[in-house]
Amino acid sequence: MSSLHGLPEARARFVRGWFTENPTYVQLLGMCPTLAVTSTLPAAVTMAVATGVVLLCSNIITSLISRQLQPHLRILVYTLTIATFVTIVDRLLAAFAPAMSRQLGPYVPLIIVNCIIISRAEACASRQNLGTAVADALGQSGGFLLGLSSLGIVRELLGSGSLWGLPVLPENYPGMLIFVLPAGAFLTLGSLSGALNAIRMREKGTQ
Amino acid sequence: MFNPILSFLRQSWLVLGLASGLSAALAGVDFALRDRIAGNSQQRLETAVLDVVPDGASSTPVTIAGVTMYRVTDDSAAVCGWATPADGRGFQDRIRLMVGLSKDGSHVTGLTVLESNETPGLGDRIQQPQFRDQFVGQSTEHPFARVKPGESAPAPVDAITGATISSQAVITAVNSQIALIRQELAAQLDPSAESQP
Repeated sequence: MSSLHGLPEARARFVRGWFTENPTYVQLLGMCPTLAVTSTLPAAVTMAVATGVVLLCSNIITSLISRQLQPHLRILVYTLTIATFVTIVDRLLAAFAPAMSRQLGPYVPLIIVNCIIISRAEACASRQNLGTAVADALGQSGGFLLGLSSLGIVRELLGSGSLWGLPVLPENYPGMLIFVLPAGAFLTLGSLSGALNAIRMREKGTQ
Repeated sequence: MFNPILSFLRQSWLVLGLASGLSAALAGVDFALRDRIAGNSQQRLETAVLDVVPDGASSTPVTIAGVTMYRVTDDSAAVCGWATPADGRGFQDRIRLMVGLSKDGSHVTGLTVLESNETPGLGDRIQQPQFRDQFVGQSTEHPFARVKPGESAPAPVDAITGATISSQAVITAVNSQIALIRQELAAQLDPSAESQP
């Protein structure tokens, strides 16, 4: 586990989070926010950034205390840490981005049970040093941002004909309602995930 | 000798310490942001009040017959209308509205949605002007009624296709709120009406 293709551990983990271990398309983790808040690009990006901040803070704390932590108390400590940072992020959004906070509704508090965060605490941060844990958090957050924003782009473009709230398609574009509704999230996720896996398979085949 | 208290502390000092530290952080964040968050929702309410009453410049909350209302005044501090929050059960969650009424409560001057978690693309179109503007300018004498194309009613409102329940929820909420305050508004403005049966 010390290195991948000769890269130092931290850099390898950072790179893997974006692509080969992308939380959305490869690990298929955190599906609740992935499907629920990606009907527009701004909501998708806000959710990914909020999750990323919590993941980073959680990985830092977990890595710092991992040596002192009693193994049978670790889930308790992960939950405590994550819940605290999620609440802080939720309050910050309510204070400085009230409209977005209303739009995301219950999905910000639900970051507490996002399995990406607890899986990184358990799989990486509790076994690695601080630098590696930070790189891992940044890589996974980047991958999550990539996943959510690609879904947000496709769904907002096809569903409402706009990007980041600005109309980009001709005004008479009717907007495909299904892409705004939850069913469109499943369709988009399935198609993008399938396309990505097809590309990866082909690359494997040519090597 | 086995000491249960020592054993407990040896295992849990980290959890206890973290819990205290994180709680303190939470308390600090709440203390720092509480006023700002409360201000945000207050400001949102005030914006909505002035939004539903044309020419409104400032508003004062008042309680008439147990109902919270906002007395809206124009630039010359004369009363130019009223705003009142209405509440209804939507398709998924509570819908909160702000209804604007003319000075004498005789017609609706505006309607805006404060809070709604209706289905995106369907029920949440109650927020669009195409739906909301149907109420504006209509008399409050008759309750609003949902109509299909071709039907007529004294106070017709076209429902949104695919969102009958959300549309009806808005209509019901507006109707019941207007019914609550119409009489009181008329009496307030015309003191002689109170003495006459």
